[in-house]
Amino acid sequence: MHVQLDLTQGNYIELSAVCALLSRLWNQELDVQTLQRLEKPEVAETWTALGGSLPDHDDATLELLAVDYCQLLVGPRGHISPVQSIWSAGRFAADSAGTMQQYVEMLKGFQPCNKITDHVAVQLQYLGVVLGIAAESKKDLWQGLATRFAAQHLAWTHEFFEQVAQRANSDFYRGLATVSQRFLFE
Amino acid sequence: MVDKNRRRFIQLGAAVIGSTVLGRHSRGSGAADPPAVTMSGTASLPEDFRMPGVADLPGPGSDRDWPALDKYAGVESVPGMCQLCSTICGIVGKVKDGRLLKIEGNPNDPNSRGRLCARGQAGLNHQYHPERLLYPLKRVGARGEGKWKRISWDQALDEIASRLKAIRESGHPEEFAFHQGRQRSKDALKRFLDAYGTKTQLSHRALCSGNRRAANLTYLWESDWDLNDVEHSKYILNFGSNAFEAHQGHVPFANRIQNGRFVNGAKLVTFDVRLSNTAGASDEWFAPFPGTDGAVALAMCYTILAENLQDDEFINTWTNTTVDELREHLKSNTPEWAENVSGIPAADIRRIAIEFARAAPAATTMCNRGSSAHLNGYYNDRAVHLLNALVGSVGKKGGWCWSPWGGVDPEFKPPKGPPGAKTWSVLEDPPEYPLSNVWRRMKVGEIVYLYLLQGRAKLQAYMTYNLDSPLTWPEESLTKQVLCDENLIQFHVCINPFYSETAHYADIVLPWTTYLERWDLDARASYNLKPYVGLRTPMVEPLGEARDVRDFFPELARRIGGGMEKWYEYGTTEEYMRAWAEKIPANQATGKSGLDRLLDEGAWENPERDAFYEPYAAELTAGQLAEATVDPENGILQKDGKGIGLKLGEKFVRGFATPSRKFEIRSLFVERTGKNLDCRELINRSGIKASNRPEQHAGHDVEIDQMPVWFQPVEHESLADNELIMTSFKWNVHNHGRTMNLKWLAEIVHSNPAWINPATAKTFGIKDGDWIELTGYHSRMLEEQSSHLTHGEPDDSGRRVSGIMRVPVVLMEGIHPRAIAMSNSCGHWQYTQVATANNPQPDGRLAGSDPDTYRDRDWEENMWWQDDSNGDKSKWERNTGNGWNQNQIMPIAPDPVTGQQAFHSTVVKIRKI
Ligand code: SF4
Repeated sequence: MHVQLDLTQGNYIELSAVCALLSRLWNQELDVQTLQRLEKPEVAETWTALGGSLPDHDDATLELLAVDYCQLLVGPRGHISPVQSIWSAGRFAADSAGTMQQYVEMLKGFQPCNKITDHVAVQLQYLGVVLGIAAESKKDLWQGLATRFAAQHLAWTHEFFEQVAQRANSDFYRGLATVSQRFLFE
Repeated sequence: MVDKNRRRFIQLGAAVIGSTVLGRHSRGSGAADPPAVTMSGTASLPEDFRMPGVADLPGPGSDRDWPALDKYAGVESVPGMCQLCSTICGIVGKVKDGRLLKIEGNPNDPNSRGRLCARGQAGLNHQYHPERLLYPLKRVGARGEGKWKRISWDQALDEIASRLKAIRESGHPEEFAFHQGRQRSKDALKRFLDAYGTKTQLSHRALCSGNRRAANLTYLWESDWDLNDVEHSKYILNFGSNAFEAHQGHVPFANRIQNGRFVNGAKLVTFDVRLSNTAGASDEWFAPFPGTDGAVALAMCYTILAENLQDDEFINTWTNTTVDELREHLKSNTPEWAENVSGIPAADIRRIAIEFARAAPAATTMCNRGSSAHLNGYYNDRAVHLLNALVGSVGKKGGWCWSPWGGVDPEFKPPKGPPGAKTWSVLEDPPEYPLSNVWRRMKVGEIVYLYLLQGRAKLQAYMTYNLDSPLTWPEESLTKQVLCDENLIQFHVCINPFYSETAHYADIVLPWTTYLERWDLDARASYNLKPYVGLRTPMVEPLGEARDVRDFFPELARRIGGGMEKWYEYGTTEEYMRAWAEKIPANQATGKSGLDRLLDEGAWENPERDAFYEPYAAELTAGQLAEATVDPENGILQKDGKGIGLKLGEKFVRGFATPSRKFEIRSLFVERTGKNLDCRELINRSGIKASNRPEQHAGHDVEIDQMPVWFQPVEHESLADNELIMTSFKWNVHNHGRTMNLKWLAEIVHSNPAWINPATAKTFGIKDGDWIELTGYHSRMLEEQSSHLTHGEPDDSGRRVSGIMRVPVVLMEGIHPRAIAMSNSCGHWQYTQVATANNPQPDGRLAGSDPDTYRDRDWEENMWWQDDSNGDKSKWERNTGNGWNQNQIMPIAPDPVTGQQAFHSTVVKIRKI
């Protein structure tokens, strides 16, 4: 499946922010601070309209979400790996890790949010940063980079999001997969 | 719809920015700070970039390209040491762009000489396994339920530290037990446990090599490890060792055996109940009745004496018996007697004994678990070793040798550690097994869970490390029961690179680095008969948040406090290694010394040391003799109350490091130790670090014979028609509990139907592929001699059942008709999809392979062994599935002398189903 997100029409700042949000949510369990910000009315409204869901605001729910995050993305068994290498080659540090490393090295000052650079969270983070730069200068160059990067490093996430949506126990992670899917592939 | 979506995402993005959903943005974390990130000047876009693959060789029918010809251009060679078994061969990692592409043997390693086995090659599967543990996990459901959440290292260490601190402050540090499987960071573990103050460090040694070690120590005291100098032999007599497939000295030993045979013309004769690959590659193979190796060996000794082929000079000078005494002692061990118990024709026993003696002194025995993992294993091994003394090959070139160096060259010392902990625990030092800890701490690992169940000890905290006891320990169900019980094990931390059967019963799981990601200075007893130093280095960065104990123990110690922290003031791990390796001299060619030399070469052996041949004959120097006194009665030289040598005629020689300073065929020490008698004088004369049994052992007496003898376990004397003796074995592509998750190896061996001799099968009406029910029994001998072990319910026949399991059979000529064999390594129920032969996707795809861009054909087409029978035995297909864990029926069965688990003595009842 090809990435459908049209990167030729501007609004890079906003798209970049969406990338950063999704990156944060895939990279780590939901915490109180992030949930509080998601609950702000202007965010909550669009988030739910896009298929996202907001959990109850209590410790027990956050604990359940942490368990769901773990069984979905961390394991220890039968999880859905959020790492591109696993999807492309059945092991860590496959070709996609090599190309990701090259992309990372290309951006001076870019600090991946996860040590595993072909993790979906880093890939969304990277796209966000590139779009953020595209908003400021040399639009064509950065937009070209973003397009190529998305084709190379985000196409794989279509099935990943689909599986997460199918296997999530919580509305929140099902919703996160749906929103992510829509963002990149609709 | 598309436009609507886009508008909504733009709204979402705007709202996110407006509401600072992401909080404080760090550089590169989002849209808020793009100016901090710029394109690097020299960057070019990755386009057709292709990272050389580790498993890119195409499978059958694959249409993928072969790896690029320049795959290894620009790779860096980083030395290390394999740890997929205990042999620790030297390796070289080929690393490019931070990724390990290949593992090769390191030709500089003096022991392994650049050779690797299949397991070593498959280290890449281990390193980049898709199911590696990457983050600390905390249990959220009931123990054993398999429900987890990820936690940070900070939280994990805080929680562990608070538990351990409380136990330490309660005054019962021994109630924190550390239980290791295969470990090669001895210094780091010892530092932590000594600093903490617990001596409850449990191991698996008794499940492996306790009897062989004890037999060696009885004769030698200074070494528990015989190193057969097979490369220079003319005759190699193998009692039950499968050195070509699995042995502590595996590749280095096998390499030297073959050199001995094909360069030096040695003959290899194997006695083994099963036609292993070693037996199959021997010049002659004999299948004795299980556990009768010692009888065959004693009958050979008898023959050598009867034929007057013994080495009189060696026996009379260097042993503490005489030829006449030995003749008298062995007078009933005739080849006919041995034939009667072993089934080996007396004529063959005679012939081989004579051949062996004629080849001496370049003749050696070798043995391992085949002879020692028995209820009479200690005596089997003493009998086998005795052959070498009779023909005078002890310590000779091509003979039966040893070295006192079991680890890193003792010239090199790690930075000073804390004084040894002084606690005592029945789990670590069970009083029922007199030789288990008297010289070296071999412990009796297999009783740990039973003793906990019996309430003989309490564990407030239990830390497991590279241990898979639910699979590898006898009595799988008992192990699981105890691990699951929070009253018996109150807190369990598991340190492992994979989610194993042990991790499944933990409260916190810590992701451990692989041996390719961490530091060690390491070595094992080398077949060069010299010590050496090898280096394990982080070839690549640890994956995810995996950490080594060298990295997080200091942090844990600081959190526990109470003085522990002061033992971690040595700086970084690299600085610690640098200090340890400091004395390695410069290589004249490179100018590099110390750790830098090791980082270049991987290993170093001191060229100035001589091989440890005939150490007993070395004459003492004037300096050594100064102020020494001679005991006129026995010629023993003593200095400062310790034995240092022997006066032989006019010569002063080193002798053996035993109480008699001779090779101790007769051991007063073992007899006295068994009875808890004072042995201080004997110990002093040996000059070796040993001790009387502690007070806690009082009242636990065991009869240990002074001389090598042989007896048959009572349950083997009269097997019923429907009973066989169970034996186990390892394949050349697996270790016991840690390799079935590696795809390249699991593809080769993944299942373990039971081997039965066709003649036996006929009497049961069993055909190839039929299923049988196996009922395992507790040992009758142990019920009489070790009543503290008695547990389990008796069946109709009054015998206690250890377990029942059902397996298919393969008919094999290559097994003794009264034995049944199953390989170990199989039957995992956790430990990754590969180990459980469980391909989770209904269409055969690994979760994660994108059908549009790539299909993992290897997985799809080659994981042909998945078992789709769903438990219906009629639908089971041969060679599918992941096999069966033999420990479902193996009873806890420690040899009463040493505590070695008698894995090969279990009587099982067979029923066709
Ligand atoms: S024998 Fe094989 S598994 Fe064992 S250390 Fe050597 S290469 Fe590794």
